[in-house]
Amino acid sequence: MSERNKQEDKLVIGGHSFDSRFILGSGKYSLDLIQAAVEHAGAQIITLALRRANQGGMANIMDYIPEGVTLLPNTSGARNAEEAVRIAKLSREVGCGNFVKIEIMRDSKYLLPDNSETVKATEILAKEGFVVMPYMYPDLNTARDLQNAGAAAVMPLAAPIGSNKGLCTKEFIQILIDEIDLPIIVDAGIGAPSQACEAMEMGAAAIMANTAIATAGDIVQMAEAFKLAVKAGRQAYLSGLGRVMEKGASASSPLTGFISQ
Amino acid sequence: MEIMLNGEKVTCEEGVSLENLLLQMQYDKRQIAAEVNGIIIPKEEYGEYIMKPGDEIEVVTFMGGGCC
Repeated sequence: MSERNKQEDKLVIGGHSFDSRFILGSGKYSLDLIQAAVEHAGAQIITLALRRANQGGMANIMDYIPEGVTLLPNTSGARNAEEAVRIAKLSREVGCGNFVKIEIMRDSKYLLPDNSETVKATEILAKEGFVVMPYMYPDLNTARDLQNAGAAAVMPLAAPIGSNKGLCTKEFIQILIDEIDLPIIVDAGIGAPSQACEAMEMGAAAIMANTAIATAGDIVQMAEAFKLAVKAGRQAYLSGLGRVMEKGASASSPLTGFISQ
Repeated sequence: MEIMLNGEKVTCEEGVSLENLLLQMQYDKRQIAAEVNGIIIPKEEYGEYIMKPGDEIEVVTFMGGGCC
């Protein structure tokens, strides 16, 4: 890949372009570490959750996020489309732009997304001018519905949220990458940089991770490790991976001129 | 008079605006959104909204979060 092509390789979501393909979650670690984690991750998009505000001038996460980073509020806590729409509208009113990551869960044990409610919320919010990034269980029919509903990207889960189990849904994510003409951003369950790299090699447009970093021994170093892995995976994808032989072997050194001949 | 703020009973003076109520509670207007009785009040209208007895206010802000 030429240097020029590398420079032009942007992640485009809802008409906004980003150099970084690593979306960082901000949950489960202290506010003091957020700036360093964002910087070491090279992240240009960070997710946030909307909650009731405490009285009394408490420290606010927005004071700790470096300038220029796009805020991606999620609708966590929503159990149906109506609640997700309410949370999205409140998030926009805080004043962080019009990006929203839709998350709708009815299941509290496995935290699996409700795909049909997610399609409904996507349709409503896209019509209202939001850049809608729905979190979903990787299903081709749902992904097509999300695209038709106006989603700006599709965010299939790799494994249950917070599990760090890696690419459990790999084959189904590949189908979305192959068939859906939107950025496919692998979200939830990615537990190690190697897994992020693999998803990028498959052609994922970006990776979102939170728990893998928040539960690491060194949060800031792990943020950087993910950045490097995502970059390596993207470059490998653009380069075109070498072929796999089902059987046999193929020497990579010349098969003539051996000194024993 | 009494109102509900984030699910808790709060006493406030008659005729207070949403703007002043939030100021008294030390909320930073730049970092919140507010709903009264299920309707979002735009920030520029906080000063015009006069609290009524029994109003239910939700004041929200961002916190760390990834999924869920």
